[in-house]
Amino acid sequence: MRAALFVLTWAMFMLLAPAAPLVGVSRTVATTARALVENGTLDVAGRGDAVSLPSTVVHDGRRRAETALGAALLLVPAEAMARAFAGVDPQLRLARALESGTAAAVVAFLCVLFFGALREEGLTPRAALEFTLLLAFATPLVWYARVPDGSALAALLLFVAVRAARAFAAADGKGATPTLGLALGLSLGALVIVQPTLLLAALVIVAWCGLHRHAPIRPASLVRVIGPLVAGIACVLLHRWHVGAAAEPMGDLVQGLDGLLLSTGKSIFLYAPICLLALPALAWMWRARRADAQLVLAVAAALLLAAAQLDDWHGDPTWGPRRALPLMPLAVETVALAWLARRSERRARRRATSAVALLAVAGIGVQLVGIAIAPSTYLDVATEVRLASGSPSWFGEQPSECHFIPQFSPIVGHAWLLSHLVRNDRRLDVDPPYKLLLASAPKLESVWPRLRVDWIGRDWSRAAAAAWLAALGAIAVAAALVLRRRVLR
Amino acid sequence: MRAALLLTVILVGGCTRAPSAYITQRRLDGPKPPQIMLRCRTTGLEAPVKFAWRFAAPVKQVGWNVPVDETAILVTVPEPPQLPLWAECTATGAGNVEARASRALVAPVVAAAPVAARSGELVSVRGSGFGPSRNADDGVWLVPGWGRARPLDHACKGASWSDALVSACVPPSSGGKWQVRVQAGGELAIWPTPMAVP
Repeated sequence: MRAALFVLTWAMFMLLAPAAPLVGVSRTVATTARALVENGTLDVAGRGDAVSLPSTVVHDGRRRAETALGAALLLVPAEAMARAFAGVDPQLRLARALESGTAAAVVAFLCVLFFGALREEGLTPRAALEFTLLLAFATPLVWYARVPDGSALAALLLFVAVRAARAFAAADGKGATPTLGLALGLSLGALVIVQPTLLLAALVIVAWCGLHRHAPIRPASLVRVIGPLVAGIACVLLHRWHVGAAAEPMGDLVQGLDGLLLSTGKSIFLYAPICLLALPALAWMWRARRADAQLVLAVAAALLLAAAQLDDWHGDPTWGPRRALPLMPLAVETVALAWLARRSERRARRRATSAVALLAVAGIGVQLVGIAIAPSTYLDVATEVRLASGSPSWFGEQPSECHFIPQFSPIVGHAWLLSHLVRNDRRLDVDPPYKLLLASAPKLESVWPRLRVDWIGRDWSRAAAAAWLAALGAIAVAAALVLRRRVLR
Repeated sequence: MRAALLLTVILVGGCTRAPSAYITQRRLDGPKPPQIMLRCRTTGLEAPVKFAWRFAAPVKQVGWNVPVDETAILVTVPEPPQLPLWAECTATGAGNVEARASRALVAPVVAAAPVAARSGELVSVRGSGFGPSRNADDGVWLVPGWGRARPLDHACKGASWSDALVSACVPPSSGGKWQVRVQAGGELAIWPTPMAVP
């Protein structure tokens, strides 16, 4: 059943693979992986500059990525395979598909683990499957299953670490304890390598284990947990020293928190509406499973504080709150557990199911407009509108400020652009969402030629695109049939 | 006693940093002619810190009657660029302790570099955007395909640094084929033809 779930989610993510070239950190990650494969070094000089390869630093005559080591290492097999087929794939279509395929495999694996976790908690196969699909397609995870920037990998590792921490704390000190301790340590160490800003969250998990473990902690167990984490931290420090990375530029903590929680451009509650139910679910969890609630709250606080204090809290150009993405599995799991707790009361359960379904539909709608158009397209539109406003310096130095202007919300903006694309209506000056802000809306004539559906097959021949759709569609349908048979059994 | 002395040395040594400065630039996306926000960042200077800016002739400050002694300054540069384009900041802290930094406002470009040189020889790299003077991290590097890169010696006799010409000496015992790269203002310029050192 889990294999079928993996295949189903992977095939569906691949069906949605993007055509737009990688930008932002994902480009840095892919370029670093390519440099490792082609030259055996982390040096990406000559493959881009500070603008096209963000999060890189020039040191000792080389340009190298500051933080993308873990995500780049994961992409190495895909880039090696792409290089092997470079002769028959001069347009690098296969390379692009392999990069997306790697990200899709990470999220598909996360879905399998998430499904298993919900089954262990007592959800029926059908309910666990529904919540898993909700996590996959009603949160921004679906977007990050198409773009290999390391965010999905961080989400996977954080979820594994939290599950391992719970099991490690509950273990009686015998049997599976060594394995659990090692799993916890390895996931924490890998988490820090993939996303160093999650170090605080990793330390919070270790501290929670220390506070809540029933059996006494033996030195051997401690080494199994702490050892890999320390190795991960050492690896990050060594890498940062090697590349000459300075401390990440700090921004305004309040702005970052406002941005990640409340802003119209990046709020996790807008991009993953199911997170709205995580708040009452946490209140239930606080009463019923206080230790688990403390863990989720502490990890969420650590992650949000560490991300919000960065100058680059938004992680642009990207869809939604990239830096808060690892919280999604924890939030949906909390909602699923709270939903399960209401199974004895029929009316309460019906209300909860309706709320989950409503927010799931809203979430799918948000992700649909997100994956339909490349995020950099709309950010370019916001820039053009700013220039046409007569005050070109308006949020020019801090483009992220547009996330605090409701009329520039990417969700609304993508929906607007998509509606024009579907209707083939070039008159972008008639009904723009920012009309209230400007005396006369710009025509945006240069935007229309660039406005295209962000789907990998759009530039292929009709036959190739149809074959791609048919192959992946057949795989997805076969996996769905297997799942259906098992779930209904 | 020894531990106390060691701790004192570490604390005093760790907290007293040599004054230094560097300039960061952020190009505003959109305005024509281009606008650049410059910030002079300093370490090791005691407050109050005053700033003085100097620019190449084509660089103009945006606005009228705007303060020119602040840490951040908005400038405009002509388009297409008229070289040289650079900015220099002098930060003066308490006790008249000074730190100075400069950087080019365009990406460095190498136009010519020698294809062969001997160890210890003074070589020149021509181009643009190197900055008016050399900062701590700036330099010309010899980068191999695999292995450790080696910096040219910028302290040797005849070495010089200007926005369009850098002269420095090839380090001793550096035989092999190297790619010449100029690191200036946190940016990198690469000369594609390798330089052979016998």
